[in-house]
Amino acid sequence: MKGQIRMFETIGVLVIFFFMLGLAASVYSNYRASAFEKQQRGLADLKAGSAADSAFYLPELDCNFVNVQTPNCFDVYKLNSLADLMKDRSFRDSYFPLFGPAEVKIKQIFPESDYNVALYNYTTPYSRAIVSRSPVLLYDIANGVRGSYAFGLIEVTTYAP
Amino acid sequence: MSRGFEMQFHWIFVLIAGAMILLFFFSLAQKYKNISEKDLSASLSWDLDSAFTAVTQIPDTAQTLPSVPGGVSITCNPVCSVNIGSSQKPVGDKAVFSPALLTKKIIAWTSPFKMPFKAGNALLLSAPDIHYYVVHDEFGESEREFEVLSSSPMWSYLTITGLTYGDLHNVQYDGSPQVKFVFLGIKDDIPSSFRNVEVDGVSINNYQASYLKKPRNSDSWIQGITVPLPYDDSSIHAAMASQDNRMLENGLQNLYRQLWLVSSVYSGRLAQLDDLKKSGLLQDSCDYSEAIDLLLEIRKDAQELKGNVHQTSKLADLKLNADALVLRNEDLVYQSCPTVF
Repeated sequence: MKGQIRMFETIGVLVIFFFMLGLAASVYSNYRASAFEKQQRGLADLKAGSAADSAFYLPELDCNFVNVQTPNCFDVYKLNSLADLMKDRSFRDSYFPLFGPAEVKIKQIFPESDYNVALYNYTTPYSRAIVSRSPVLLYDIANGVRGSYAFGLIEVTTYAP
Repeated sequence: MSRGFEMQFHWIFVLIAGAMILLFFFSLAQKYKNISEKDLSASLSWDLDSAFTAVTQIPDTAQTLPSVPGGVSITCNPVCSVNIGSSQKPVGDKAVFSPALLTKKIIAWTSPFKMPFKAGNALLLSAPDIHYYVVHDEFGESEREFEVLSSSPMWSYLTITGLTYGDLHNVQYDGSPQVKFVFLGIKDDIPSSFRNVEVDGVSINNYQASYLKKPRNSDSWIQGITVPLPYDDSSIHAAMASQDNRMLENGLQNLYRQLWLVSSVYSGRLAQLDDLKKSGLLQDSCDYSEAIDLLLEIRKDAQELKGNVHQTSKLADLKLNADALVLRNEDLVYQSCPTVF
């Protein structure tokens, strides 16, 4: 009888011990889940920054003269040409490794103009859209003797799942 | 008798319960260790990828990236991927040329791929613990290739010894953990002091790269597959930095893919300029028809080469078309017309 009581005591202690252990594990797993979410957000931000940088430095769009480049500048005829080519789904898919699910738009802001190019659009269901905007020069080589520059804005929206 | 049996049972119960508790804690600790390692390697892999993206965007620069615990390995089978611990990330559209294993700090530099306009950047990786011996013929055809390598920013970051073929056999092994011989010309025998060391090599001759391997305790090279290179300086760097033909082929495919994309955009741009000329907004002397044809040819060559880098006839075509486009571009400069590049 005494032995049985002792055994019940031991089992009781073990039950309480495992209950507390379970409680600690659930608190810890909650903490891990929130840390994981934070890490995923950080990675999504990193990807968004990388996509925005990639768009900014595309050799397809740069303004150059005999292989000398003007920094932070897009040639408008290259922009139009790329936007036109992107209408072809297989061509657009060639840029997926670079941008992933994202939208890239360029618009002229000064002098005021309607010039607006939707360069890349690959929308998927998402939980968060990260928008990154950078000023850029838009160069029209055929406007005037030396061509003309305008101020524009490149907007890269990256979709995080 | 019954009490003795009860006591025995009690101790067996205590032992089983204790073992279970210990097992539980061990498995928890192991799981935590695995998760932490996975987290760390995934986060390092992303950090490295971002660093590679940043480096790729700035041509002709060399940067030092901090070493990664456990090292970084880059394997190509057939698509290349960067491996850190258990994390594996494909290199994607980046043209990466690197040794198979980077254990110390990483030197990353870029070389623009121009055919004849810039189509992208080759991302080249190496480490200071790899000793390169660049063997050249000081009065031969390889002198230009030697100049390309020695004027690059990586020359001062890496451990490189420039040698002439005459000096080659006087070289003594200095104990470097990794050794690579780069022959700018035909391959030669390896100095006898390297007999007990495993050595990698590449012979870059007339825009063809042949990979070599010398096993430990051997005096002769085992030659691998030869890869034809595009006629551009970046390909010399790429051949030197690549571990083997598979890595070189993979990187070149990505560069040709870039050339295909950029030449498509350029031909579309010239078609617009041609329309402007036809509508009188550009002077009549600005003739783009030949340049458009050349760009379409370059596009076609690049498209075929991105599928198979071994087509030497396509590479020769590409060179001819690129040279013709340079001349056409110069004509446009003289005529004060908007240029192709």
